[in-house]
Amino acid sequence: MDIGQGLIRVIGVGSPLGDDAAGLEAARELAKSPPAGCEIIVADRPGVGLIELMDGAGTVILIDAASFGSPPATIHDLDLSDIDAVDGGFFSSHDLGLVATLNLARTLGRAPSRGRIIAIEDAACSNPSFEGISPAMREGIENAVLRVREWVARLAGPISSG
Amino acid sequence: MPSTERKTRTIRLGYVARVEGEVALQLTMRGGRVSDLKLKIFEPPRFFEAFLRGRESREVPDLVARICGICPVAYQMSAVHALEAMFGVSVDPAVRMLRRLYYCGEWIESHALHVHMLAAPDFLGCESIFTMAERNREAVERGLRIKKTGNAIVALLGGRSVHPVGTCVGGFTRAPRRQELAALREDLKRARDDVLECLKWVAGFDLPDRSGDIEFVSLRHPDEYPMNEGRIVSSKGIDAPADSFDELFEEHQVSYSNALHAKVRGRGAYFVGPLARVNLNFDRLGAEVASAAADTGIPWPNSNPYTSIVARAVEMLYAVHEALRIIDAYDPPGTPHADFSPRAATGRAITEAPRGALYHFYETDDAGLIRRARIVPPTSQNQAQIEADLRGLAPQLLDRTHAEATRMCEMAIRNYDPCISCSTHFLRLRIERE
Repeated sequence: MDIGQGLIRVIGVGSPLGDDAAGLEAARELAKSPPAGCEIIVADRPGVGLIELMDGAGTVILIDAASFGSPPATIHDLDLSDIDAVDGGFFSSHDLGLVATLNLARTLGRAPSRGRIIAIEDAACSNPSFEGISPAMREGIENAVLRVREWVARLAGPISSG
Repeated sequence: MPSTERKTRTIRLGYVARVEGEVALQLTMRGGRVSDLKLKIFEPPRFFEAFLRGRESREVPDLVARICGICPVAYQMSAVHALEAMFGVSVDPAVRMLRRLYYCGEWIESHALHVHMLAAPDFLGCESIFTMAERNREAVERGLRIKKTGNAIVALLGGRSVHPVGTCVGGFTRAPRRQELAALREDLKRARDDVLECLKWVAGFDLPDRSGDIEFVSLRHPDEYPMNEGRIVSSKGIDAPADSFDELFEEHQVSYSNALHAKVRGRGAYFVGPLARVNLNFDRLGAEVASAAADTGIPWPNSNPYTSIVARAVEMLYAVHEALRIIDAYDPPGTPHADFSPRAATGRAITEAPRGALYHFYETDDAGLIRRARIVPPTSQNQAQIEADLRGLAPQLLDRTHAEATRMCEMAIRNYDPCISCSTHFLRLRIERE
């Protein structure tokens, strides 16, 4: 699907299990009232399929749970071009993880020209249960949604060549 | 240190503490001989067997789909076949074909991922998929296209491609319309061309030759390439009903692995998976696929584990042909699933997961609640054979560098298609010398 270079695609990734669903939940929240010029995708463990989900979008904002050892629900706000500096953090039990998939997309020339990763600290996967999302992560999801809206406002519009 | 002074050498391949597929390898050689070899699998399938106790029969397909992120269809298929046998359920012939199509989807996506992303970099001297993507972008793109085609089949029949939920005891929660299946045709035709290219590509790899005296085990069906049904056969003469699994094979615990080892009773290790299936069912591939497999120049049957990557490509080709055949002949079932009445019973079934035969056993009480469950995945069945392969390989590792020894061990293990979380973390190697 090609929605045009001026539009922004927001993709929430994760699994339905406990706090790992944070990216999915944030995308669902955004989908209730999507920012103008924005397409929202909820992607349950897309693996390498993420490359296809990003195809055709000039700007992508990814939302995922991650563990970098920060306090629970901390928002890590990363530029897509910073992924080389990311060591671990994102979970994947099967298929390629988020960073590996982004690296593969870049190698294949299929990475979006710009974008952000909004990662919500999952505190070392502290809540891997079927009981749903923890209260702390709920707060993280709300903050992630606000951060995505801020970025959409800043990134909306044509992409500069520089 | 000169190699002649190495009295003992220990090679450890580290593991990762993630959810599924954690594997480590420890290999110690003394005086040029293997003194200790342990393939340590931490994946806990018995955890799921305990989860299942007390659950309703109808919940089983959704629960077992969670065991593996790459082959959920296989877990669902073995479960529903066992439970249907227990409750006397007959499924509509169209449902049977839809299940076969569902399995084709899983074979396509699982094999495409392994061949292109995991195994091929080994044979091409690439460190990873990223290096391979830089050098051979088209092959990686082709792998992604093929995998996507398999995903689309699983997503259509399962409701989603990861941990699908569309299967139930008796059939599917919903049967697709004819036009929904027809919409897959163009991508499958493209995939057929892609897989043919892939088959030629992998057959041209420089495959190490470690042919051995291996017992290959798979299902065999009277008319079809085996997926959901058949007798258990082996290259050393087994030919028995699928429900005789426990009489033919025994599991035993080893102190260093959470997965039980399996062996043929009275003999030893055995090999399940694509190479076993191709070896034992070449005449069920159909003329076109068999011809393409023969054109590779690789003799079939073949006892070299390194030809597994070619067998996987052969099966991808078969699955694409079979999917097209099923779609063209599809006539929707009258009802997507048969009703059933749970009762006290015991039952078992084997189906062919992408990595090989997957055995399920269930016992239910009068209300149809699960009293006991037993699941024997292909990975655990292959453990002893992987160790045997590594023992055979070990003498060649003595004078190799860390990197070479690591790569050689990884390749030998990957012949059996371990899951990605295993494969991508076989990266840390420690060698100790005394």
